[in-house]
Amino acid sequence: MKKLFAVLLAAMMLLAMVACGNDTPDPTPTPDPTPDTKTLYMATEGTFPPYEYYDGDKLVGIDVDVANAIAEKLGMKLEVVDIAFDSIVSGVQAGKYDMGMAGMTVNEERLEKVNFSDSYATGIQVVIVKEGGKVKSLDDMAADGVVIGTQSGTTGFLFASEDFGDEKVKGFAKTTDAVEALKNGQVDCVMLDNEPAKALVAANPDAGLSILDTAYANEDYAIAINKQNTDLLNQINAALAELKADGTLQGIIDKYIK
Amino acid sequence: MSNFLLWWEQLKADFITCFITKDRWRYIVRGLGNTLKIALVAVLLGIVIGSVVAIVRSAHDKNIHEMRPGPGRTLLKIANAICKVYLTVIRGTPVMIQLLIMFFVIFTAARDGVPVAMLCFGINSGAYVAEIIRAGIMSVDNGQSEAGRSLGLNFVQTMWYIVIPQALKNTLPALANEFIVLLKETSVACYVAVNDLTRGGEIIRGATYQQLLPLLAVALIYLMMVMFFSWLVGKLERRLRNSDH
Amino acid sequence: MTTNPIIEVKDLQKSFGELEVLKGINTEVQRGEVVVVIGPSGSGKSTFLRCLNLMETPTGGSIFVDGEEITDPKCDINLHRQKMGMVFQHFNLFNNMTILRNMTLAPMTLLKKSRAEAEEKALALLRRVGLEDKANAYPSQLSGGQKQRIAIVRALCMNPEVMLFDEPTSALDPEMVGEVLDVMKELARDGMTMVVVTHEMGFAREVGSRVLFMDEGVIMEENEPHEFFAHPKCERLQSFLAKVL
Repeated sequence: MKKLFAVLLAAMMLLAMVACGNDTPDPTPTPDPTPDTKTLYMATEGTFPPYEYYDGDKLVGIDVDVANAIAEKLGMKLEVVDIAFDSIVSGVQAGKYDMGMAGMTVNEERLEKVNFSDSYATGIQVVIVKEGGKVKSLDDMAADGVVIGTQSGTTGFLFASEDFGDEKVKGFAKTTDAVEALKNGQVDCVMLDNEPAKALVAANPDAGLSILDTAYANEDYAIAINKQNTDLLNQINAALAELKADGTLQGIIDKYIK
Repeated sequence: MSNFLLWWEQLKADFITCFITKDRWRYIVRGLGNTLKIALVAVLLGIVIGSVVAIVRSAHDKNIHEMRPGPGRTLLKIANAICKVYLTVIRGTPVMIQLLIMFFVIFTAARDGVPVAMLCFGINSGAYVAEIIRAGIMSVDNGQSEAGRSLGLNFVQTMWYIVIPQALKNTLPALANEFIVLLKETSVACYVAVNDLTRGGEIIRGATYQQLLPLLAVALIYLMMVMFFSWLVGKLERRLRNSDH
Repeated sequence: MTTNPIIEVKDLQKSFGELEVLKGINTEVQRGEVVVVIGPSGSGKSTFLRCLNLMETPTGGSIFVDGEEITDPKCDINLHRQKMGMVFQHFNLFNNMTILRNMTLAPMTLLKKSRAEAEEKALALLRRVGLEDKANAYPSQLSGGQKQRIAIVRALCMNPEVMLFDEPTSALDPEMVGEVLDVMKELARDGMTMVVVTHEMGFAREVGSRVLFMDEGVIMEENEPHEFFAHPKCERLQSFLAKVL
């Protein structure tokens, strides 16, 4: 194995030298990705109700509404881009997007790459199970042969891999695929955020799905922002504080979560 | 110079984050194993399915006008129609959709995506292999099969011993190309939660938010596999050239 | 002559679509006879020969081999072909096999002979035609004359009762015709029943026990060779012989 990596490393060095720059810590900070434009680009992943989902051909949800409220405070126009969840943090890091909002939890690895705003909502990791399946409580998840479905790259995926080992975790491209696999019996439970979990259980009334009473974990959702762009971070935090103070934020959350 | 050193140190740190920390290299190795398993079974399945379909199709096209009416002729016509539908459907739809249908609609009892992916890519590849081999069969001189038949060998024996080996040799480059395409196409398997090579890199990207090294590592491994395989096929071709006209 | 013909042809007809190639052929081949078929190109002589082992399916009439009607759809033609060796104009050796394998494939597959047994017989036959040193060569390494001699002994490996020759020397360079004809002459001397379509008038005269002249899909004239060439009766044969001799 060591030898293989030596070869790999050598080859990478060569290539990296050619494409040098990307990984070099640049002494002079790159200019603000969007200095003059009045558009605020937000990256999200559109299959995460009620935070973001499609209503017709329009992305809506808590994150979209909150982002709109922030953009309004900043006097900017919001543009929402729907990309793979895995790519949101790297997209923001690379300066492709001003910010990322996708029911995203703050964790160590993500903090290395991007800054996070103050929390704007609280997420709960829960577990969906199927009637008559192997998992009846959180304790059952560790049992032999239990397979946990997740959307790959999400906190659920990271939690599950960390706590139960990679071999027990299946990462699907979409949350809906993971739930579909649960309905088919291809996985034994699905770990995901509480709100989308409720929506997905409600959307499949005949499938015998239910959410375990005990939550798996509690976490805070925050907005990912490019590290260089501290101005935007401060502005967003200020806007969030105002939105919290005047009740707008709670209003948006109440609108989607009953 | 200090810039270079800085970059070098950073790269080393990134390498450790990507592959050494938490033994993340295991994702790559496990993924490589699954990719190889899927591609190998799929290519064998593809050649078997492809050969059968190619034989049915070319038997139909070459012989149907000569055949006396009877159950054999009817059977061949039905088999040929089935093969044509198979070719049309499989070549007319994206492999990813086929895989999703296989996993989420047909094999709903399958918990592991790997066998489903093997089957799906095998069936998919079979359609392309069938057309390649059919062209190969058509390119083998009619006299070869006539000589076989004149000795008393039946159609299947003639095909198996005489025509197919020559057809395979004629089509080796095209078949090799199909395998290369197949090998890379298996990356679609991550849509049914298979931890293949591509997914291995994706997991590392997702966990570390590093882009360059995981992607480069995955790309290099695919490249090395394809280069090794091309070298192998080249050797095989040289060996087969012995019996060229 | 005995009254137990090995091949009996009754009112044999063959059309390719609108084109009528054989318009009712009636003849018999006795055991041990060497029947030589001559005629201008397009006369149907090759088609006639290829009908005898159903390489072409007749559109009318019947053919009996050993008293069994092979044109009957219920007849297993593959069994009959085992005892009817055929030699083609273009040799049709199996390009993907060594000479030895060319000769042992059918005996091992169809007669269930052991490899040792089949190879022993093949090597003995190769020795007879002076090509035992070519046993492990591939067809592409041989001259035309060598290939045709191999094609003859390949057919002999099945111990046929009849040998059919379809213009066996037409594709050969002139200097190689002799070596092939010599093998055929020796075969005739050994008492093999042969039906030979050829342009070699010398062979017909020297070896043939009967010569057939075909034109426009019918047998115009047949006779023993001396009379056939010395006193042709019909006008067509006279003008044909005038051109070729």
